Amino acid sequence: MKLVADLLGSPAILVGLVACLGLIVQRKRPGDVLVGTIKTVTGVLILFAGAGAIVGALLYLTPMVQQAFGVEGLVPNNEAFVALAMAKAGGLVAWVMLGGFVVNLILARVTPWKFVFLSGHHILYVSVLLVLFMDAANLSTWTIIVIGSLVSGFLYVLLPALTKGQMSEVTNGQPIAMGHFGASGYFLAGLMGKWFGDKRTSTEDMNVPDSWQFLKETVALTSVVVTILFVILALLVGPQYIVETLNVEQHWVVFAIMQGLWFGAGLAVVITGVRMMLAEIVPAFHGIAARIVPGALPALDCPVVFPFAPNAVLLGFVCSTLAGIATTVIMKWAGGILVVPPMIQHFFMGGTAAVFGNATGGRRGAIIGACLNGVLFTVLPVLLWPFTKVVLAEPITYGDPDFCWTGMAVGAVLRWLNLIP
Amino acid sequence: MRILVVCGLGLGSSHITAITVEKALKKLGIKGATVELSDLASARSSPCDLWVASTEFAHQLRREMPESSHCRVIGIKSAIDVDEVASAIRKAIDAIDTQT
Repeated sequence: MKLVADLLGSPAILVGLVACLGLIVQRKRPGDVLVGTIKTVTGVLILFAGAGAIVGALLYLTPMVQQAFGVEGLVPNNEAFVALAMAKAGGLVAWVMLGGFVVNLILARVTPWKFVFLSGHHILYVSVLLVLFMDAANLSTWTIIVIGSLVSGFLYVLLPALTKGQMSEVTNGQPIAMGHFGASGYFLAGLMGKWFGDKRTSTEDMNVPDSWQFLKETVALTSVVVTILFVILALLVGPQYIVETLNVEQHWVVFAIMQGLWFGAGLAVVITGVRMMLAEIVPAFHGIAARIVPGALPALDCPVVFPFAPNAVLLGFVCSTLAGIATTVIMKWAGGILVVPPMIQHFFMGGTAAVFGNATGGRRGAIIGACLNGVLFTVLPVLLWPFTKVVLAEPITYGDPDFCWTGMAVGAVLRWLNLIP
Repeated sequence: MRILVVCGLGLGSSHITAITVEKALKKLGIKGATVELSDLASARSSPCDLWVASTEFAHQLRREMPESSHCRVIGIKSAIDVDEVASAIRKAIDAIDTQT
């Protein structure tokens, strides 16, 4: 029995089983089924390996921020959170991913919300979030699977439905929907554009210099930001603190730079792991959905809108980042929490928000929409943190608005029921 | 033939684009091609015959590659439009053939 329990409790094995099932349903050859399954399991293990590198860097972040500013430091990063949390959440994550997909298909068949959510990484992230909270509340295995599947499956059609009207404006009526847990932010950006913008001045009439293109390298930029933060912290706390209290043997400047780079490296490893683990599952979900709900719109990851307004993406990234950093500074002054700017969110989601804002309100819509989102990426993680503290010791939480809303809602309900502290 | 599908992180849109590329290859009658996924940062260090990315990221990829390989970077506007991807792959293969 322990053998079976341990096997089914291992996320690597269970996610591998889901992939294996998907490959068999697609009638792949036995060799491809074997290799695909192993690659998926390897992806999960790579994810765990990357988590180690991220924790290594964060180990020093908390005491240094505390020493330098007298406040807590928080890193909003979905990938880091999932990498650390997945081992705790166990095999249930795979069941909730599968169950949520089934609920999505049923809802797409019977309700007017005909969407199939195909952003595999977000299916993973929300499943981890839901399982983790309910596991901390000591709910039974079946309760977790059923509630987790219902909540996630409902979100998979709700989020694309929210942005449906604006998406057709963005894409000129292409048959795609937005399958992303930043949807509420994009929706607000679209509204801002409509209310305060001016459609005639499109971002796409602007001339963006080629030298800005490096801004698309988000993982490298994350390393840069965390490195700069560590260097500032090191300067503030002084070499003596680093040598004596943190017991670091390296020269303190080298130490600060390496911590930032290690964080970026860990993130790169984790992302590779997530990619490998989803490479077989997403095509399987896509194939099955096409058979069961043939008319449904595929709800896809946010960069699918980038080609419709590439200038807006870069403008949005810059605006979102500036607004986010300004919010960080204000919150720190107010004696709150120091939020490490989430560069992945600022680029991908700040960019998408600007594409929405531009579609409804031109240049001004893009700027206002992206700035608003930048504030959300900084404030919402702080509001979610009191809940994730219950389940994860490290100062990491989700960055995307709709993960934050979902986490806060589920956490608040569980707290109200006295199931979590 | 090895085709690398690239998006910003290699997490979301590349997975969908890869499905479209598979369908496009079938339509073109190209057999024995492998389709793999990558992120922008590691794409340039992964040797392959064709890189497929959305126009946004294709632009960035081309900037980093020697000019001789520019035709091998395919930029596409829609992640789900099989016809667009198929004709882009056709065009790229023809361009490579005339080059060699």
